[in-house]
Amino acid sequence: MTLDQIIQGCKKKDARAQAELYKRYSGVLYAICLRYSPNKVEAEDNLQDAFITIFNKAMQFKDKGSFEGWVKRITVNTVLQKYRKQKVFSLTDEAQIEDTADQQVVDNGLPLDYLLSIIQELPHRYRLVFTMYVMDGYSHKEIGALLEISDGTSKSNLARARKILKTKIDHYNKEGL
Amino acid sequence: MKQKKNIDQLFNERLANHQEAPASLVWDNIQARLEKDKKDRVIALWYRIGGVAASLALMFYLLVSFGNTQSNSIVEQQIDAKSDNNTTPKINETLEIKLPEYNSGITSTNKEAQHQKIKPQIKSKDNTVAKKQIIAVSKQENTITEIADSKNPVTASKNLALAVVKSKNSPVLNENNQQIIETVVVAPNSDTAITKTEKNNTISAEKQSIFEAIKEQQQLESKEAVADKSTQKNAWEIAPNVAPVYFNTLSQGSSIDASFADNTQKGDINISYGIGVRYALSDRLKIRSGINNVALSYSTSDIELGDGPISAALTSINYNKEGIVVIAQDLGTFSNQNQDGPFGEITPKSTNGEAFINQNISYYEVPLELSYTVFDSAFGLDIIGGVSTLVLGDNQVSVTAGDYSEVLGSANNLSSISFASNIGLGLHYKMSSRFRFNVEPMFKYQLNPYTDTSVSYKPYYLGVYTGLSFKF
Repeated sequence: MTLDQIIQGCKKKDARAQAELYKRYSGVLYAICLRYSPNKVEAEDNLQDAFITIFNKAMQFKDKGSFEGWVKRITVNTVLQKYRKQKVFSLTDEAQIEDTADQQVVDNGLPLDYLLSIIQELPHRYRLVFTMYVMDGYSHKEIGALLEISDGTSKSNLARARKILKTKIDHYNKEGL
Repeated sequence: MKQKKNIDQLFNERLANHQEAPASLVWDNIQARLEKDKKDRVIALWYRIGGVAASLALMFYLLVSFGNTQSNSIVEQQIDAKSDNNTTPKINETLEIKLPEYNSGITSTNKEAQHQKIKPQIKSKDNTVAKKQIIAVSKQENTITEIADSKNPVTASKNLALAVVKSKNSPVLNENNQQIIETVVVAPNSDTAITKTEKNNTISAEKQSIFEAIKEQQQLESKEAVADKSTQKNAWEIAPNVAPVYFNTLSQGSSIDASFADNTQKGDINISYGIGVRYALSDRLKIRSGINNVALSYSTSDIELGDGPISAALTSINYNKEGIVVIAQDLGTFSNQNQDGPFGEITPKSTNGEAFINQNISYYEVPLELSYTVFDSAFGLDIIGGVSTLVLGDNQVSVTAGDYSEVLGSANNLSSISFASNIGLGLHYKMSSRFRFNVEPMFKYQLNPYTDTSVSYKPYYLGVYTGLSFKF
């Protein structure tokens, strides 16, 4: 089945096309869910929700632009809807911005599962901001609009996420944990 | 190998292109949910169909009840008119007695018992004992009586399983005090009064009287049928219908905000469904009413979306929430914004795809129309005109952009009760004397849909109303 046949089939709610679409994109979309969710179980739940939304909204895909980009955006939006309302309980001023852009860590072959797990352990908002900014290329303005926070809060959350991650990696390198 | 890396670079390199196969359970769950959604959609559709069917069934029920009452009264009147003796009141009173008594009256197969039963009843023809008998039994007994009188006891014998049909017709006494019987239905495999009489061929005059009676009865029936036809013209008609409706405007302008007046607007196709009632004033003229649920919607494009304080939002929308809300403005408004003005506080939204502001309205429509039949054969043509009263139901304004969508609130400039003028054609095909298939393209122009008179939007909707109608 070509991608175009899959898209047209999904628009008609054809079960075979839906299965093909899942086969083609579940790997990449699951990876997105894993880094936006706090654990594997929730990542699987979010992946289910994302595919249901994709199948229900397939009609709205305008056949312009990248289909993969479209399904990725739906997946990110599905996860954001779930976690963006969760508050970050922090005693520090959220708007307080630190410059952490050039934080350096030692990489002596850090395992992928470990990197994923420390992202998942971040507080919800820090995780979303860090992943959106670092891995999915959203600007602070876009993050602010999508998470309904100010640009400043987005920058501050990013800085705090980097700090937590650096501390954990440093500790891992030192202790082997 | 130890290597120092920027933390962002480390995560980006390792995770941005990461792929991992989810557990097979995920796909099983997705399939189960898709299946459930499908079932829910089917159930929702059946609820709608069921609603229409239930209304239809209710109307049929009322119709049948109404019809029965009418025919009973006609019978009673006819009996009064025809009879000169006191048998009639007896029958009138027995009309309402229920069938189980009939069964108990005819189950006896004992010849003697049958005779014993018959005799007192012959004597009691004019007294009140017979009042307790149901009409079927009394008629059956009359048949037996007649045959018994003719000295043909065999006929009144075993397995008399007679059931009288056309209970609305009354037996009439002739001069010899012999009853003219009604048409009788004979249970299969049973010996009957009539067949026995024929077989024995003992008294031909008797047979003759039976056939005469049947003939007379048929004549009576045909007279009644003519009378019924002349009194019942099937003036009422019930017509459940469904229509795709297309909503648009006859003028430029926007009902949402004047700033969208020159934007591209697109009417959507929705559904109207309901039930109509028609009454024939004459052969050609009918008055029509009913109730329909009509959904209308249109979208406005060339807009942009942002987040901002409710004070900077469109005034024609009652937002569902307070504080920071999603704001839709004419394309370019945000980039030309004056930082000191109200738009300075709006953060443009990053969305994919073209942004639309959508208005969805539903009305309960009660039309009052006249139709004139131009011709009426197997295919017919009506001209329809009238007005509709529209009672506002749902009212929702939402925005969409690519995969993003949000309900803003409701429009505050819609009239809760408004009117529309209707004009259209009715094409119909006669499926039987009572059932017709109708296709009615209608144009409905809304007269006062907005409370704000400055709104220049002039909406109309077009619908092709299709359905079956039933005359009664």
